[in-house]
Amino acid sequence: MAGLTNTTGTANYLLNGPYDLLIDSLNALYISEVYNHRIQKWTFGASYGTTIAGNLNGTGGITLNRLSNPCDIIMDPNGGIYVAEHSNHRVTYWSLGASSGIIVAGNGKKIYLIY
Amino acid sequence: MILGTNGSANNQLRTPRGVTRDDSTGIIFVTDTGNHRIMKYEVGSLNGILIAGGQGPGTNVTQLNSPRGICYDSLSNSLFITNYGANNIIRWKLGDTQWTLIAGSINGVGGSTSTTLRLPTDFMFDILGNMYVVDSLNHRIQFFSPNQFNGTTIASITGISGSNNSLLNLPFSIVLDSQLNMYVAEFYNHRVQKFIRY
Repeated sequence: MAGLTNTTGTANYLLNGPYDLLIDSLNALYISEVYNHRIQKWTFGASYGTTIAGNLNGTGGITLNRLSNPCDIIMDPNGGIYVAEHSNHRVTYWSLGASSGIIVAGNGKKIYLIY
Repeated sequence: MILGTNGSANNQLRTPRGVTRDDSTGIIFVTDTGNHRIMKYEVGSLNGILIAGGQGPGTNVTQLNSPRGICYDSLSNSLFITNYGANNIIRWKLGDTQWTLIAGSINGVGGSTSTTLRLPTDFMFDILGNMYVVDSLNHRIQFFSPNQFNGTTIASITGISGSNNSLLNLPFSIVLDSQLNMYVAEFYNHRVQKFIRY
């Protein structure tokens, strides 16, 4: 359905570490890729994805146009996407069509709580 | 990086993996996985409010253990959480100080029977209230009828990983479309498979 079994890469028809899925009302599938540091949108029936958050070449980073090990993704009623970024220790929100996110949780520094 | 700060840094997270939203208010809830707690964020605020856990990693009902997937349920005003390290799915009603068990072992013991799970990562409910659980280290998808603790395997074979079309290799996520077709993301096979509902 998406990706090539056991094959990783940054090409738009490949996935590297697919983590979370969401589906919109038009049956487009959104996939977070942990190791490609990007969120791909696969429209229904498509044979490749387009990058809607992060860098399409799979380069991660801490700037707001990049992601670092994205995990869960959710969509709000406006079509914006929230991304939990494992290795940036933050959650960012990407408005529909935006080329960068805004921070909505975390400050990018990790904290170890001692119990 | 701040090492050893105790408790109060509610504007910081450690390896967050999950997020959910109350669409009526815009409030989001984040699984602060590495700190074994759930934080709530009001719209426009970066100061998190501790909602659940924050008692160190563990398996008792006041603790979380590397929580991952999360979903807000407005009807019950509660959070459904994959309590990954404790091998169960739990519900935490907002305002409560402890969770109630939804699926898996109440003692946090992983297993591969119909009533146990091994490192669950994600789940989804359909409109009938059935629950689909991604049982990652058992390489299977478990189906639970409402209020049942006995699950049925509906994709792959318990404990067997593989790359052919009938097996899964470390499934991490599930989503259902409006026809209840099921999509599964496999972390180790680097693919998404679609399972057609007949």
